[in-house]
Amino acid sequence: MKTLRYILLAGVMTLAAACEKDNFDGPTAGLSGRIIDADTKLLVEQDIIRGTTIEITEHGYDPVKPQVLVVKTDGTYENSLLFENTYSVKPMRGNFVDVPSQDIQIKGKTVLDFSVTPYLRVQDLRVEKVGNLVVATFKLQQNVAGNVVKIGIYADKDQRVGEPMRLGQKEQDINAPADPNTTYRLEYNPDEFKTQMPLGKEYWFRVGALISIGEAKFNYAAPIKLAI
Amino acid sequence: MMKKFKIILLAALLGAGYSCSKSSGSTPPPGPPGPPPPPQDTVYDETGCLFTSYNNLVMAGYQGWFAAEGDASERGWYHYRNGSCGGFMPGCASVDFWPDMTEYTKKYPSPFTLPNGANAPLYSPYDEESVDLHFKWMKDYGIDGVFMQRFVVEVKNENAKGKRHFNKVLENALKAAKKYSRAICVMYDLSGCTSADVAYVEKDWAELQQLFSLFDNKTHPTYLRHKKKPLVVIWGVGFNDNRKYTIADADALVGKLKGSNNRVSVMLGVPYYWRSLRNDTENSQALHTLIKKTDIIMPWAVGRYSSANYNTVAGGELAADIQWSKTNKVDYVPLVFPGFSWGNLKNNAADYNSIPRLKGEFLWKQVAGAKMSGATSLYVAMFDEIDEGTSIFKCARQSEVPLNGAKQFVGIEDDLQTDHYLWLTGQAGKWFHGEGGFSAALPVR
Amino acid sequence: MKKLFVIFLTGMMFSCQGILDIEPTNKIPAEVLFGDPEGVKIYMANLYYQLPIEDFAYFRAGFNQNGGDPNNGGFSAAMMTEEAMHTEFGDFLGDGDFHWWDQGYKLIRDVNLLIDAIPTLDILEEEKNALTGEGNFIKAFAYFALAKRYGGVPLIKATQKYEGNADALKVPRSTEKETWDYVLELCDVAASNLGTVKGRRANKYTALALKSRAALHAASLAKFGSRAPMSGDAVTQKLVGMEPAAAAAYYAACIQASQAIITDGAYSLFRPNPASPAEAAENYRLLFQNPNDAPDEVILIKGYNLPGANLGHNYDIWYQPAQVANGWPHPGRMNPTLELVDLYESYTNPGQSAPVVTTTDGNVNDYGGYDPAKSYIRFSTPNEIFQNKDARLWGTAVLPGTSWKGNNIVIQAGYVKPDGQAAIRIKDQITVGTNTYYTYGAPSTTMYSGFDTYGGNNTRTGFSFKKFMNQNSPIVPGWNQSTTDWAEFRYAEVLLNLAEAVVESGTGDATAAAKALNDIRRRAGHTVAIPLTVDNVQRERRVELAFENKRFWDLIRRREYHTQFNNRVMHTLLPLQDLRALPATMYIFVRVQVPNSNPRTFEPKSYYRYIPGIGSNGLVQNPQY
Repeated sequence: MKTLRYILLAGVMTLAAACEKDNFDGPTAGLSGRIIDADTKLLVEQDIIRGTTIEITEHGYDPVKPQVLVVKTDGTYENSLLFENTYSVKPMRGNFVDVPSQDIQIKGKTVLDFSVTPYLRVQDLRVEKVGNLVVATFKLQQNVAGNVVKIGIYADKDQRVGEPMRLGQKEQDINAPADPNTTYRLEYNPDEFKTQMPLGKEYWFRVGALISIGEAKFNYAAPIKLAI
Repeated sequence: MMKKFKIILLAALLGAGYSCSKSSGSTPPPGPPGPPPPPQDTVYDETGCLFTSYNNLVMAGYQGWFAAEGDASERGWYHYRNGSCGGFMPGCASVDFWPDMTEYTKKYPSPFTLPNGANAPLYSPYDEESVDLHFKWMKDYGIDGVFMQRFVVEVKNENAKGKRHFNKVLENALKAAKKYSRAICVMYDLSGCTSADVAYVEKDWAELQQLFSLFDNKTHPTYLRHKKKPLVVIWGVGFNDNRKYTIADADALVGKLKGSNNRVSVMLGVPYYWRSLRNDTENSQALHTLIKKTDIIMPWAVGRYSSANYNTVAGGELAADIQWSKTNKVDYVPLVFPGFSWGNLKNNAADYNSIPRLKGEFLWKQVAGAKMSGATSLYVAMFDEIDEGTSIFKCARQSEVPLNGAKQFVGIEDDLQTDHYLWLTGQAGKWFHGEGGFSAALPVR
Repeated sequence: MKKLFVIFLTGMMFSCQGILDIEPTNKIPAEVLFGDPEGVKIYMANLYYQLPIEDFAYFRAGFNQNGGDPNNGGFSAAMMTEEAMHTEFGDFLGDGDFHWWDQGYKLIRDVNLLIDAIPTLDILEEEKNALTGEGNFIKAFAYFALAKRYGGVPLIKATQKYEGNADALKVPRSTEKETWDYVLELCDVAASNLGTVKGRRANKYTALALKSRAALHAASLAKFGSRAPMSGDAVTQKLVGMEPAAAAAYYAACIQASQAIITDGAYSLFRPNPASPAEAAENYRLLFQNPNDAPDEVILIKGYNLPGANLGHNYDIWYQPAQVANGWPHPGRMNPTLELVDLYESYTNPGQSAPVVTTTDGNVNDYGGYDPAKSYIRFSTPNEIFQNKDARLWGTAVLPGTSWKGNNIVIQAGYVKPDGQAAIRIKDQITVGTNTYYTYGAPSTTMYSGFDTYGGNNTRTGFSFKKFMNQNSPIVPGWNQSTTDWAEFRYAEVLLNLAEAVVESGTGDATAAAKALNDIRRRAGHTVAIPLTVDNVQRERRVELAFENKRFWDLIRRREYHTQFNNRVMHTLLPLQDLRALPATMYIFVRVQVPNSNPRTFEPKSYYRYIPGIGSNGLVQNPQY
């Protein structure tokens, strides 16, 4: 009986020790913010898959692997599990002109917005039903050197629709710089995708364009809900 | 005047004392209260000046380094000849393109003959008439003006003929610029300099101002100004090709040129990857520190891309460069060039047309790229550079170039006119002046 | 007398540190290893076993997946390309797939040990040369496998000696270009030391064939790198990526190595002039059923002599059609896609892919499913629709209604009832008159091989698998029972490498390159020569080398993966019996998306694998990992 008690005691002690050992404070700070178009002041729309990332590198460690945040489709981002410290924060591989890294002190809930110039702006967008078709017309403003690789209208059941996440699409290769005087037109035929998206329901549509810059992501207009 | 100088000295001494005591950790000694107010910027009379800002201008670089055998410069076939193969004769030259000599009034027979057997003459910029013609073309085609290259190693006192040459070309150009209302500006090229040579620029610059009354708004109403001051360019800072001078040397020079009263605006010629401090650029933050002290930067893009990869290269750099410059309140001028060819200079046939012109498609791609990226002015490399084949001025077409032994010359594409690149640069000028109707599509003549 | 060699592994330094204290296990006297010829033979056999050959035992978890628990569902590398789908899995390339790092440096250490020992061995000079050649071939093969996965890697050119400082043994990554240059340099050393005797060990031509393959890979990376630009430290330091200007020299190296093999005439195509497409199809099948019967074409074989763990492999149990499972519960996993089937030319239209036309309007882009209003073309057999298609299709895939091991392989997705309504991919039957018809073409699961989801055993693309399959004996229902050998290098690949290097570089002998291309087509029953173009070369490469685990690397090296796999779904051909035609037996076909499949997208970072263990080896990581 005595032996058993000792063993039990030893077990409890081990447990206590283990608890103590793990009892560091968890991450309490967080960083959030918005990617804002410097001219229009609108959020810069993103992709959910292969989207723009933000690299957050904590100071005081070497080597240190940056934490990578994926910006949400609406152009906001958040990481609520950071330790209080100084960090370098840099958006990477995005759909806007490269912005330099910023060093900031993250303490509590810290907010950091980025004012950026999107590679392309989809302007004067109209998406409407014309007969059986969904027709998108829009203009493109280009803010960097390069070619517009392609334009597209993408459809999905999910609001986060985009080029990498869609059930249906109509794309057009451009491979030339955007012409500010051209009204681009895309005709999406719902019949082609009715096995995935049966007719008679509402779906999300988003119009986007891709610039030829390496690792660039699509630029989009806001998604639109439409019954087909 | 004397008094002001003394106060500045005192301030400098105080500053030094302060920083010493700070580093030793003790408290600063008590001194006279507060530093004197900063010196005022120099104010110039810009009455009658035609070019008070580089904004909205399309200007080219002007080498002016050629000389002809028999001209008054006594420099032989300077820059036409190629020392590596023994001079200037069929099979040996340093130029790839050949000027279209039709309109020159003063010509020199050259050792080359045309396919029809006639002699192929050349011009010398040492002659006033020839430079006059170049400025007339600028006016005719709508190119705003040029940056007169001044190679520091060529204008040192020990190089008397070199200095005389570049002073004479500059004199010719200043005269023609006034006559044709073209902008003109001095551009120092530090290539080949030692630290001491860099420091010499200050002296040369003072001499030029005195010699030509450069900043006199009546004598030179077209001398380029920027931010209310005459502009001077220092080219070749931050390149990582093992130069014998440092960013610190250039920083010191800029400090001296501007002086305590910000006498001039300075444009800095930097490498292409200056912003990210990689590839052709020395990895030193000192470059950014210096750039922020200057008024304009112009990154060197010649050879950094061709038509095939322009979008990939410039797409990532140009707009981000411009954004950086805006943030740091420095103006930005992108460089565009029509193509590149230096087969004869390098004695290598593979280097003929190594960056093809594509009948202007390449040049226009850069013009449109600059415009779309938010640039407001252009630097065109170059007006008359035929050694590296970046010239925009009138050159012979491919079927009209002289014979060159076992080698060749490169001509303007046969189905174009010899003035095509002048014309196209002029179209860029119109676009940057704000005229409508231009786009990424190559203008049709 | 310093004959002690430290076995040491870059990249594993910290994990090895503890072992370093134990003297006897990490220092092996060379004379013990290489003292007698048998010892050398055993050592060499072990080196060859370690070669990263992407064969029947190569899966996403790596090489030699034929011991321990080999049950990986039969998810092969081909299923990460557009060559095939798995019957059930919709997986795609993951960060952890296809690694070969620790094993790579172990092989390099082992081969360095051999190369260091050669001068001390008491053997003839020509034997030393041969060993030197083989050693360098193996090393080249190892660095090739590393370079194509990781880009620039640490180059351990000779045995490292541990002298008390582990950090001194840490070697940083070389640039990607330096790494590829080293691979080619090793190939040259190997080729110049090796003889021409054919066998199961490397000879001069094996080394040249490796050089041909590696040089083409490097050239493509340089030429097409700009299709998928990357950024990050590894890019800035040139550890990944090469300048376009580097392509020319690599293409030239590929041309040189390929032509050296061709000119010497030691190899040729197996049965180069078939009398008919049917004969061509059978020749092609035989070439892979037993590459030992084709010594004229096959330059290096990896043997699987005996059944058993770490000896045999599992291709026959995983991939033969369900009807011949012979009691094995998991057959039929390899489903060649409609994309692949479409790719093969028709003899009636040389030089063009011949997509399978199912409707009278000829629209091959309609994947909207069966519609009674559409006008389908009727065929009298389930495979008449493939008539005139390239023999290699027939030699690679088991097509519906063809014979395999004496069975008529039934692959049917459903039927159209006399009223025009269809029953597709559901188990159903209908009696018309006196006959009963079944949706899957037969009443029970043992009698068909298509579309029923039962057991995951039936193809969902409409095609089953033939290439490499052993037709001579019934499936042995157990693990590691297949003994079909693998042809790692064959002459046809060398010809295709030459053709590609010439057409992509615009240099070299274009006539010889066109001949190389058309010789392979002639062997496949084609009689009309086609011109040397980029498209023709790539199509030919895809159909000739299908399922030889080349396509994955073609997509990687030509930087086509991220455009080819951008929200990509694969497609199926549904064979339906059209009961409206009764009493005639007629079939129609419907092109659809592969059932129960999701789009797949390639992430550009996957052009390089991540470097394992950077926490301890201190190497620069590849972009975006």
